[in-house]
Amino acid sequence: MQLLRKHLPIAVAFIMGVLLFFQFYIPTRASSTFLENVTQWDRIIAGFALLLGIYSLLNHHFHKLRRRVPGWGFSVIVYAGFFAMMLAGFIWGIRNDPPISFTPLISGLVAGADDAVQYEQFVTSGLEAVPPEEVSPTVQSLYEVIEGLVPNDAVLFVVDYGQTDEADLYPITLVLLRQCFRKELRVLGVSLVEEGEPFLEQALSTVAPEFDAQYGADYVNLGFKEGNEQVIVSAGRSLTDAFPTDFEGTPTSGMTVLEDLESLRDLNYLIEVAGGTEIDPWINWWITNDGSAMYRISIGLTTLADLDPAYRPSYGEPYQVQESKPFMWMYDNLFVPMQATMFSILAFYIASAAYRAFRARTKEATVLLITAILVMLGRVPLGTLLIRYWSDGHWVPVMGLSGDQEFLSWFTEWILNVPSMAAQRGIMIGIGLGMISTALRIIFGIERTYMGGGD
Amino acid sequence: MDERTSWMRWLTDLDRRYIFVLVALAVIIPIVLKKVLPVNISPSVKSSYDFVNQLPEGSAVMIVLDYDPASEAELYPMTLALYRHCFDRKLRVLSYTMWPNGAALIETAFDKMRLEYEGIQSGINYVNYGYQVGGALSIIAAGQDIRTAFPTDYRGNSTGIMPVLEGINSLADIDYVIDLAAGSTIDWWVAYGVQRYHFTLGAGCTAVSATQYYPYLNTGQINGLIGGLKGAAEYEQLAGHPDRGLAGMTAQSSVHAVVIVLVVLANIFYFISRRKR
Repeated sequence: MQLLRKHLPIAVAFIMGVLLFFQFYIPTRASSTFLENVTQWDRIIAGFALLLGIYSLLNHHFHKLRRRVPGWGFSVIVYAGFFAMMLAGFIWGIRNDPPISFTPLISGLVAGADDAVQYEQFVTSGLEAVPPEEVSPTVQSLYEVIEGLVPNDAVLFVVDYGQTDEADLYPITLVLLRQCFRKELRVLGVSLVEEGEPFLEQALSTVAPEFDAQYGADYVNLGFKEGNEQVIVSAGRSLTDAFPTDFEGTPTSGMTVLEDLESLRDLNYLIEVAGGTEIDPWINWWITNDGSAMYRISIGLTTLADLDPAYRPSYGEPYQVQESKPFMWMYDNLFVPMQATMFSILAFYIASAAYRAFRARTKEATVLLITAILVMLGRVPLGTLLIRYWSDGHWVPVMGLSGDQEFLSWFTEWILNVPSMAAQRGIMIGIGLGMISTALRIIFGIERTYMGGGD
Repeated sequence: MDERTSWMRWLTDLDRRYIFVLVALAVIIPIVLKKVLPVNISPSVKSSYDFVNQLPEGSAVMIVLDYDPASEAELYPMTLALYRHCFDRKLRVLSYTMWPNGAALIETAFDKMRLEYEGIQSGINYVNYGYQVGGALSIIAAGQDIRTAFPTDYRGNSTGIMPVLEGINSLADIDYVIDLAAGSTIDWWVAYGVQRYHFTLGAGCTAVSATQYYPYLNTGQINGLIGGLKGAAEYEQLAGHPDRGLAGMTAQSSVHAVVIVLVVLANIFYFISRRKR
């Protein structure tokens, strides 16, 4: 019995201590494998410490309950909380399913002449061109989505309007194309209404030469395709099946601009310039069938002012929905606020304790008091604004003066980097020496309190 | 006892509930007013930011969340600021925690990042190893062989073939490790991590424990230190993502001002009452 309780633990501590000591200085493969194995074993043993902790907690509160000691009601709450969370975890699991992302149907909307003028200002002079209070979020969003695309990203550029809406929509078509070509995007032009094809062709042949864009490599005009929503469904399966030839009848397969683009899912954005009700059949299909989720692509829509109310409800930013499991619900809504509250209470007690106890009774206490006040001020923005330090050695206690450096900020850093660090270093060296001596005492069997029993 | 003396005694022994109300108002009013003050950038935070900023695209950064919800107010803004900076720079992010209650915080932070950075995916752009048992032993294990040490991620997926770990076999292959700690884990990372496996280590901690780590900063064992909510605010400002850190600094400023005023007043009352005696 003496062998198991006393000699064996001391022998294990001695052998493992000496082996791991020498392992650190012997960088061989065998030594490394030994450390890896020992570490894995240690981690398994450490896992059991968690179980011991749980046992100890429950046992402690069980005795409180049995003896009905003052405050035993809190032990009931400990048991209730422990078992509620444990059962919720075992029954429904402890991890939420990953959130589901939703792409908005329309991620940018330019509706009417005012929006179009604002969009043109963005493209020609940047977002700063328009005063912030006048910026339309939907217009800004369309501009930012296209600006966020990187060279060689592909956009499907749909021109769906006729002669009636030319005056309203042709200028913005040119602006959008200029932005796409400036960003070096691949442009796939298409029209789902017959009247739109000439405008598409005219716009492409006007803008592309301005940016030296090459037909077939940087852009393509796929022309008019009949079939409204059927075209979208077909393009959702295969772009080359939906658009086997361009507007002149040239086969699209093999065109550089369509390289690595199999279906709508491979496109980066879909820009629709639409007037009247021509767009209704397919865009209604898109909305009804949630085309954005199906093809992971949202639409930037440019249309007439009177169609704004019809499509604005479909505008939005990307969002996620996540269903919370009971365990995680308790974690997020009970555990997190309660723990945060416990820690936050410190601020109240520190303020109260400082008021009562922080007195300049002696010279040392006065130095500590002044230093503490300066450091407290130096750690927050308010304090750094108060006193500024000039490089010629003067410091100026006036708010708002420009200087080389904020005095309080400099002083705080100096306190932390010099006197405080010197004290910390002394403490750390002391702790280090203590750890070495304790480790040696355990290895050589002098320190035996870890075996319990007060031996 | 004259009237003046009784007033003085009342002020000296002020009921702590008045102080609690003052502190509460000092926190609530700036939060309601939503006023944000710019913060001074300290060299220790700038150093961490600069190191992450110069890492080439695709570099691996391990951000270790060694805290639980009690320190969430200070360390979670720091976590988000670092994640955002890494994803802005298109770096690979590896995270885990040695605190059992911290694992869900990592997942919550990554969920938030997935919403902000379209297209980032677990296993490709980042990995959450969740809680790892063993404290300092998990550092040694990851230093020997990271796949053996952490064979599955938080959701139980095997880490063996994850693209995010391409070219990473141990801690020595990671370009930067940052430990965000509410306890003493930074000491472990220095002793069992940096000294054995020779990687670059940065640290973030609660304001109250920041002073402990200046010796490591001075010796170069950590290359940067993000201390408390102020450190988080500084990092947010540097990375261009103002959030809870910067928003909270105004409240922290006013609470510091309240405590300083209280301490000064208490000392004035103390000296007046002592002179009377």
